[in-house]
Amino acid sequence: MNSKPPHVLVVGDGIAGTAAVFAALEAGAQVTLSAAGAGATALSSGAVDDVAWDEVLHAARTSGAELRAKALDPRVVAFSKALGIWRLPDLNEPLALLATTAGVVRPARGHDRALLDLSTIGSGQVAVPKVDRAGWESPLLASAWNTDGEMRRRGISFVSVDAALLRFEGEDRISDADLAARHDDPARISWLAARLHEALHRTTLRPAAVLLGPWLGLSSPRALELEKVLGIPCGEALMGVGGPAGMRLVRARDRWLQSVSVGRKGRTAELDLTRDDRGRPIVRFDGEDGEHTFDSVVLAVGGLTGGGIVYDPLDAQATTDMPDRYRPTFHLSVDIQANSEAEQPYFAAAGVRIGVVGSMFGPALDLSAWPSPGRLGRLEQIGIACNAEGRVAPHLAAAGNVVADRARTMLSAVMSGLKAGKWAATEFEA
Amino acid sequence: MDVVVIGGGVNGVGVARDAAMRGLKVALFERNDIAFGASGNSSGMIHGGARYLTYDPHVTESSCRDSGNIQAIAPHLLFRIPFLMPVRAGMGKKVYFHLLDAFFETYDRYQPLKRGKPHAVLSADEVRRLEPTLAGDLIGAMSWDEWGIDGARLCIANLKDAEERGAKVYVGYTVEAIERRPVSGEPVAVRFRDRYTGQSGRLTTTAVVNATGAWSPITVSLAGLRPVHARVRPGKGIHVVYDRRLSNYAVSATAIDGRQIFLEPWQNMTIVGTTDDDYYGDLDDVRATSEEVRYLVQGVARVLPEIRTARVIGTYAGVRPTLHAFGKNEDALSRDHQVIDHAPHGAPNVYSMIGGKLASYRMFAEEMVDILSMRFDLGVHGSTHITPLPGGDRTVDAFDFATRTGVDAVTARRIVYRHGSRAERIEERMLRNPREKMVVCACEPVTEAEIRYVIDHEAPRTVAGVARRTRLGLGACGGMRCAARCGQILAHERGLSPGEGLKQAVRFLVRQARTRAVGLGPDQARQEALAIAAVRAELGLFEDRGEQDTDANVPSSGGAPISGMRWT
Repeated sequence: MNSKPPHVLVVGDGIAGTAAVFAALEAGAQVTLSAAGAGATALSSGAVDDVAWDEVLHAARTSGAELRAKALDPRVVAFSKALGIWRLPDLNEPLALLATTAGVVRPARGHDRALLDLSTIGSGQVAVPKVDRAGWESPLLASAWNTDGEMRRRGISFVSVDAALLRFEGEDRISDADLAARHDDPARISWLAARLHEALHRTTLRPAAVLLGPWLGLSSPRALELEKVLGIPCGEALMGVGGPAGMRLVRARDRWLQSVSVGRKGRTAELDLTRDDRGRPIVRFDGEDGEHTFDSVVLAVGGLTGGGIVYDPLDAQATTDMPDRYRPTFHLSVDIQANSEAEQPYFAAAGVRIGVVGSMFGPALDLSAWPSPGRLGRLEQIGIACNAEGRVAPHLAAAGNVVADRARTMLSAVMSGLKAGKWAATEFEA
Repeated sequence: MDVVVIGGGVNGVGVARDAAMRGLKVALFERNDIAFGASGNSSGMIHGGARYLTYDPHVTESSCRDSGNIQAIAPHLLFRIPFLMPVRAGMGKKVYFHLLDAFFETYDRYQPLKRGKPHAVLSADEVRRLEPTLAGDLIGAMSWDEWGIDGARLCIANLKDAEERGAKVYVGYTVEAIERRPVSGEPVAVRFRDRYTGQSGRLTTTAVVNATGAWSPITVSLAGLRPVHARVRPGKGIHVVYDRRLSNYAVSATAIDGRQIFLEPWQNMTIVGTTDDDYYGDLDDVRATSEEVRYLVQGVARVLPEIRTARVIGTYAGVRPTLHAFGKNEDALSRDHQVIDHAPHGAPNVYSMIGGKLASYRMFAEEMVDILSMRFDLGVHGSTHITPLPGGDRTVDAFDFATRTGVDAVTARRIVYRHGSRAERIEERMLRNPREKMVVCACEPVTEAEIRYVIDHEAPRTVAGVARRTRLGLGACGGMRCAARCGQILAHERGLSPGEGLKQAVRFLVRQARTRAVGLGPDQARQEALAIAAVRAELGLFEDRGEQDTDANVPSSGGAPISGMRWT
């Protein structure tokens, strides 16, 4: 046995990669993290799901059961504590209920702390301030949320209230994230709290909570400071993609990474499993001449959205009528050389290996790209095949959206990262 | 009613307008939506049809003449599209170039009819200066002049006018039977059903005009006639839409089978078209396939290689109702039109309009109403060629509009383009309620005021219907940001439950996604995966969103009935 701890390279610093770092460190490994830039994690919505929420809702409706939290793996809970920005209800507590900017109220296993959890406020009225910004038609949104069955059952209603919450010229047009960044300033958040306080006192309304757009801080959730002043729960509505919640998650991750001992590298360009006599990966990073040897590698490069998997139909490069050569339509953003066919990571979807497709121009995405009832869309489904621990080949594991046929939820990405990180730190030679 | 017109394409609304102008009592039924079929999915041109000069010169003549008429009555809807046909060096190409020159000289004779400019012969250097991205060893190019138009807006303008002249309009209503007298065979009434609420009704009428394009054989069957009595050769045509204007000129290219195809800067995007294939599928759900997209891109890439890396934001497909002929290639079919009088088939006062082109719809409608005019002994001539369509009576300055309302100049320009002088009615809304100036769809851009105006006055019944009228959600973002809000506004205006509005939004988004998926490139696939994630996170993928994607695919359960419809 080695006396030295194994050296693990985690490729990708999204949520799965971060979880892999967490687990590998915990297992006593030395860890290096390689990152190419923002991916799906940075664009995430702030909802922390274990399974797709519409399935949760459907199951609850069919069985008539209440929306209650299922058990979480203690490792997931520990990881969430380390990040420190999520609230994850305990086992059998009510599931979080989040209002989305599309006018839907949806359950979630947990959430970014800046989001307003409607399950915590009992019954009463939720004030929705009118703010002159595109995408925030507060009367329309309020009436949409008001039709939600769960909200009615709980006696929660949404009321649009007048409020002047924009301080400077042009704030009606800047992006949500920009406005959120302005609320990182403690003075600005107190100003906002004062304006909200005033606005609520002008009405006869005694709201149980205040729901705002996705504007409450970029570096950390500022909603809690509003709550302190107003004395009632305050928080954001959920925005599907590209809101400040993703940025807050990225900042929280950075804070945690700074608190632990992890080597940092740029983009992983090439990963060679063929040259080391023990089959260890030899890795080259972008912009570096030297090569590095690791005991194991966790690929957490992301799926299509994160850019870890590249969809590259041949006709995109064809100069004349035909492409110059055949190449599979999907490939990894990292070059991997393997000793044998068995060790070469391969793409799979719906449990079926995808090798050469029957067309020079790729699969028929028109029929399969988007999800349909009971089936994931091909764009979400495709990925590298690996076992339950994340093992792809000796010394090589995968985690997160790069894994085939994985539910694309936050907590399942965390779980796959934790498993892969543990495997990479302990059983990597298997 | 005197006349029931079935079909809300350009021919149907054209007939409804002309007939209403001549004093007939008209009702128009449309099963899906106005401009749902070929009219709203055309190449977006009222072109003169230079292509038909060699074998159908009178089609060219009538197209050019009527194109000029449309320009006179709806000047706001037209925009110039100069065309370029690059000619590559090669055996016999010099001679070919001269022949082309002579050909376009003939076409020049028709150009004054539509205020077009004569063609220009460009040297290789001149072509390179105009369009530097053109590939190949060129000896020069021909340039000629055509007009672009928003086909859906043209239909809506006709519909508006018909409605303001007393026509009854039933959008989203399917005609289920045309009742006829047992002996004389004349129509008595039509029975219809609202596809959204299921409510049915009956409307008596003296005459029936079948203007249902590719649906024509089905429609005559509803009168108990045989489908062959209104036979068309259905030709599917698809177009690929890119996110911006990729060229200054429209560029004509040759597909692998020698057909003429083109790339055309159109409004604020680029369109590549078109195919022409016999189609025997479901007319309510016509979609482009990836093979068809590749066929077009392959052809265009030979003259403009950059097309391969440009960003596809969607595709659309329609089915032309070409005159039927057996044994001809799709492309060689006549683009002429004809009115079929079903009296010889035992159904007097039932007529079918077959064939035609967007550019000559007005003339076709006039021919149809001339027949009705004789039948009803009206003694009035058509005047649709000199009476402006709604919004076309005078020009509104977009910059003044912007100053008065405070919206930005681009938004103002787009509103004025779509609505002409009727933009002032949207302005009134904005001044009355400044919040409605808010941009809902940033790509186009479309303001809340325009959406509410359109819902109030132009009879859309779905989010897709609003999109057809305003181009909301048809830009680069695919409706990701605006569909849900449009659904909320629609539900609010129509008194529907917000849930119904959201369902429609999801239906629109999924339908748009499917039309995009056939043209996905590497970057778009990423964005597409992101779009799926976004819809999952904030809307959820409704269980009942269904496989069939027609506008009217509304489940009866849960959906509140449409009330407050001004249009019924």
